Amino acid sequence: MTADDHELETLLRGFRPVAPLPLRAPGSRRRRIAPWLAGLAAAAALAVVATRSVRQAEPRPESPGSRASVGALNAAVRAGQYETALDTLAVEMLPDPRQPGRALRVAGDVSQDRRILAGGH
Amino acid sequence: MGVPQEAVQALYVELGPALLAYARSIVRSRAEAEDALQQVFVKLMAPDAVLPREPRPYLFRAVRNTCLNRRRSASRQTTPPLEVMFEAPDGRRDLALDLQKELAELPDEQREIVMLRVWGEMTIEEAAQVLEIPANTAASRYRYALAKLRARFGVPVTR
Repeated sequence: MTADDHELETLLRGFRPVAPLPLRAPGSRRRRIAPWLAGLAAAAALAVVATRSVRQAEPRPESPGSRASVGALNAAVRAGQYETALDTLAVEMLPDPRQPGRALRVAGDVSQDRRILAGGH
Repeated sequence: MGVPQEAVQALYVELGPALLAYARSIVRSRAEAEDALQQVFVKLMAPDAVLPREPRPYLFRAVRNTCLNRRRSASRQTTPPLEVMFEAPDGRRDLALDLQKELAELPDEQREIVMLRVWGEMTIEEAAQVLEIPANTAASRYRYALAKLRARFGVPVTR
């Protein structure tokens, strides 16, 4: 190392490197986020509770599925109304081809058109 | 046991700026350099951490290894952002940027030895240990680097 080297080093050391950001202690990041997460979790919990309350307060319409359960059909068998129950469920659960725009109705129309085009009935 | 938090904080205050500048000379942005620095010091705060008797070379080596790992795992190369990493003696931003530009133009191996020797305030032997190279090689690289910087910063050769 020459005197010139030392002079240049001194000149270079005159440039001070900037300080880094403050040191984050382990877990400090988690602590910083925790209140935000806690608020979000509390809001989500409130929303769930409120939704359940509203659902419980509303009268539940009886769904066709509930009447199609094994228990419900057994009860219908015991009451001698099995066929009636199946007929009722069929109307409620199966697609009605008579309604305009329903898939079966459209499929049927297309099929009929094809037969006409093909010279059928 | 671990290392007392006060000792870690004191080291961070004392060596943080030089370590950050060193890290920034390896990775491509200040944010990456800051992250690498935090990573090293957070490890030092672990309950089972041990601080060697000579923390300066140890910390520079730890920062170097962390930065090299990050650089290897960097998925794509982007243009490094313009960030002032030094404060010039008279506060001139343009001079600070000039210095950074000159340092950036040095080959990696020369830039590293300059960072360790000048701002890390290490001897050539200590810097050589950090870089895991022979002291003679380190001294040679340092001489080459100084010659280039001397040409730019105008310190005359008195011979």
